[in-house]
Amino acid sequence: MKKENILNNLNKIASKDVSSWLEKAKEREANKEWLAKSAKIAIKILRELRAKKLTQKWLAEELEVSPQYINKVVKGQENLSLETISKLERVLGITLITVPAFEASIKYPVVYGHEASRIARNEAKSIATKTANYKKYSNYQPDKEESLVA
Amino acid sequence: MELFRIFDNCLFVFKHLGESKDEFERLFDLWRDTEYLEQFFVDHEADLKNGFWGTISIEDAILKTLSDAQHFEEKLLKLSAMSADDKNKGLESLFEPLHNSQTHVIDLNKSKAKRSWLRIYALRAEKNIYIITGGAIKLTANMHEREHTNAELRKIEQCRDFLIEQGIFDADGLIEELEI
Repeated sequence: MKKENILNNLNKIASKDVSSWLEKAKEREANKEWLAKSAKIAIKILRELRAKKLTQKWLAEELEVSPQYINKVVKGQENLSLETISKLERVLGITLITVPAFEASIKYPVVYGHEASRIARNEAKSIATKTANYKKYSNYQPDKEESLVA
Repeated sequence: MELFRIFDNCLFVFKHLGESKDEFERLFDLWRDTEYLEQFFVDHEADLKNGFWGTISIEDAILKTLSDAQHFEEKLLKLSAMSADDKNKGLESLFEPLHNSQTHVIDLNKSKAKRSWLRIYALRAEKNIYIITGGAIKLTANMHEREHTNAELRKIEQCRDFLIEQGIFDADGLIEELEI
């Protein structure tokens, strides 16, 4: 059978509608960054629910949201707010996201004491810098004020 | 059983009786669905321990599937946007005969596209014309070893019979595939 005939026959029985895959794939591609994060959070929630033998229905009740919403969350399809993530972390007793420790640095020029030694150093440049470390503040938690004390 | 076009006159897909989505849409929705994947790998946990793919945790198996599905989908998206010539070449390199031992292609050849353990099964209607029949996460060396992949073999047969019944192909002209 010729290729044209096969194609004609296929088109005769094929639906006028095209598959919805293409539109969905384009949408997934456009949102791939947050979808990847949402999926990782969903996996942590699902594994925790299974380990503790808890249900999605229980989680919905604890968070006072609909079971349909929780189902969307565990399918990795929900663009979660920080508020919802925090509630999920509190209810499940686990950490779902962390913000990397930051380092605020200010460069202080370290200058030779050439003036004191009376040695002329025209256009002398600093050869080292000192970095101030503020990492300790990145562990700040609202209910642990003492963590701010150095 | 219904037939839909995925793009142009080169890639078609079946929607099976009782399903709300065609196979292409259904598969990529499932391979991006963490709830489905977690349950799937819990059900097939034995295959993740010293199996065909070595040893892998359920969490890593889910992440691997999500990543593979994304790359697979990106490849297909690129293909959909190509010129007709490039699309044809792309399709022919994407699909290969289902049976690794097969040396020549026949009419309505059972075919597969693969990315790691993800499989898309199809019938090759003609050069550059493929009809998707289904797909699976294949964790074993042989499709007969697990019920979900065995079911895919039955689906390919049913789709092949359907196309012959509909007169798309002349049954007498078809050469039977040798399954070695």
